[in-house]
Amino acid sequence: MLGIWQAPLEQGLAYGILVLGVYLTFRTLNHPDLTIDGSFPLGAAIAASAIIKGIHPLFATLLGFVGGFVAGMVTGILNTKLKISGLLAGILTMTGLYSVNLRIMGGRSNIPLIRETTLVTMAQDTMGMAWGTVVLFALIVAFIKLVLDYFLHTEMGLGLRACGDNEKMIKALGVDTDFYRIFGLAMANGLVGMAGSLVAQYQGFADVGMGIGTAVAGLASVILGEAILRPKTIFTATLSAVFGSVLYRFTITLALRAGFAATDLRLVTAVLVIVALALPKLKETKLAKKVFDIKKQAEVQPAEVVRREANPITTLVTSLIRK
Amino acid sequence: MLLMERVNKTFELGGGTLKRALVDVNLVANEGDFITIVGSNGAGKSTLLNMVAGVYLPDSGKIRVNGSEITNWPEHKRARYIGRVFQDPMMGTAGSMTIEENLAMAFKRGQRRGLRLGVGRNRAKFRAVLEELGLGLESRLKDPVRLLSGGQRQSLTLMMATLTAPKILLLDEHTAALDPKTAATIIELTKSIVENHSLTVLMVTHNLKQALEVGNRTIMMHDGEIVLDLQGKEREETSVDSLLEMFSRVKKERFLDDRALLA
Repeated sequence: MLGIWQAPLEQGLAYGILVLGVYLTFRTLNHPDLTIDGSFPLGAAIAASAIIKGIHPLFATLLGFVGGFVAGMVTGILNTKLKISGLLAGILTMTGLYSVNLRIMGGRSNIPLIRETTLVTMAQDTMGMAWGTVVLFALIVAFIKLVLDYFLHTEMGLGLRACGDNEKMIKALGVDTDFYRIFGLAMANGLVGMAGSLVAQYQGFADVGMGIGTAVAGLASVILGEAILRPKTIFTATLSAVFGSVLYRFTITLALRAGFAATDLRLVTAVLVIVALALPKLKETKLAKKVFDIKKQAEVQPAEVVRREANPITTLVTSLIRK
Repeated sequence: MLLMERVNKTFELGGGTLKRALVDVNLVANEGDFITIVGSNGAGKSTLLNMVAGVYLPDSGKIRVNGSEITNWPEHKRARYIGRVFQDPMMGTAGSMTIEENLAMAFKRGQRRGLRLGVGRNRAKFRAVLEELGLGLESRLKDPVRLLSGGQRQSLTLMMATLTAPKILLLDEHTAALDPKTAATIIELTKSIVENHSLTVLMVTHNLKQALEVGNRTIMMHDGEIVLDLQGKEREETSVDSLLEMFSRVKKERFLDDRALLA
C-alpha cells in the first residue's frame, strides 16, 4: 500500500502536467514564465464553473486547457509584439487574471465540487479509492509527456527549441520567432490550465488563491528532477520534470513530518530555488573554488569530472555527506 | 541576382546624434558573383549585409532578389533566399541541440515547418553532407553542438547555410574569430561550396589579401558609400599595397571635401 505517500504521489502526478509546462517555457524557451500563477487557478475556475453547470468533467478539463492557452498567448503577445520583458509580461497577465478568475467564478472566491461527478470520482469509482486517482493522473501525464517528446522532435519543435537556444540563428533560418514564442507560451499555459482543472477536481474545490507560488514550485520541481536524473535527451528531460514534481511533493511531506509548519513551505521552496540558481555562480568565487578543487582531487576518475558538468546540487550534497 | 537601388539607412545613436550608415547605395550582384567587401570600421559593410538579410529595413530605396522585391520583407521571410554565416562561431548553430538537429533545422530554411519528425528519414543525407566536410562529424550526429570547437562549428554553420542552395550567401567576417590555420580551411571550404552550387556571395573581410584572392569582385566602402568596385582585369592587377593606397586616397579626398564645405 502507498500509505502516507499516496497523497503526494497523486499531487505530484497532477502537478506534473504543470511542471511539463514550466519545463517548456523555462528550459525550452529560456523564459521563466509567471503567467502560471494566474493560468493555474484560471483552469481550475473554468473547470469548476463548467462542472457545476453540468458539463462533462472531461470537456471541462479541456476547457481549462483552452483557458490557459489563451492566457499564454496574451503573455506571448505582450512579450514579442509589445516588447515587454518576459517576466513583466507574465506578471501583468497574472495580475489581470486574478479579476478574470473571480468573474468566471461568478464573484465567489471558492467553488466547492464536493457532490459533483469529476474525473477523479469517476476514476475512483471504476478503479478503487487506493489506485484510481494515481492511475488516472499517471495515464494523463504519461500521454502528455510522450506527445511533448514527439513534438519537440518535429520540424516545428526543433524551431521552438532553437528560439530558446539561439534566436538570431533560427531567425536566419526562416523561423518567425515571435509566432513560435507566442505558441510555446500558449501551449505551456494550456498545460498549466489543464493541471489547474485536474487539481480542482482532485481537491474538491477551485479557489482564487490556489495559484500563489505555483510558478516557483514548478521551477523547484524542474530543478530537483534535473539534479537527480541529469537528463541528456528530451525524453529524459521531460521524465525528470515529472519525476521532480513527485519528488517535490514527497519533500514537502517529509518537511511537514519533520515539523515545518505548512505556512513555512513557500519559504523553503523559494530558498531551494535560490540555492539551485545561485550555486553555479557561487562556484566561481575564491572560497568555493578551493572547496571544489579539493573535492576534484579526491575523485579518482578525472575523465568523468571533465566530461560531466559538475552538478551544483549533487556536488553540494556529496560534499556535505563527506564531511 | 541581387539588386540594391538607392538604399539609405540612418541610425539614431541617442542624444540626437545621427549616423548615416548607408548613403544612396546602388549595387548589382549578378548570378555567380562572389563579391568581397572591404572598408574601415563603421564604413557600413555589416549594415549592408544586414540590410540584405532584413535585420534592418531601409529608410528608402529598393532591394530585389531574383526579380522579387523584398524591401519590406521581415528577416525570417527572406531566409528562403538567403543563407548567412556570422563572425561568431557560436552564433550560427544551436549549442544545446545535436548536430543532426541543427542540420534538420537548416534543411527547412525558409520553408513551412510541420509536425513531421525533423531528422527522421533525412539522417542518411545529413551523414553524407558531413562526410563531405571530412571532420569526422558524421559519426557524431547525436552529439550536442556545444561539444564542437569553434572551427568545427563554423564549418557546420557554412554547411547549414548552403544545405539547400540559397540565392545569396552572406558571410560577415566568418573567419575573423578563428586561428589562422582554421581560417584558411574555412576559406577553402567556402570556395569549394560556392563553386559547387554557383552561389551569389557577399563576403565582408578585413583581410585585404583575402579580399583580392577570393571571389571575382571587390568593393570598398567608406562612410556608408560604395567608393570602389573592382572587377575583371583591373582587379587582377591590383595588389594589396595599391588597394591600401586607394583606400587612403579615398579617405583624404573625403577629408578635403569636408574641409571645402566648412571653409
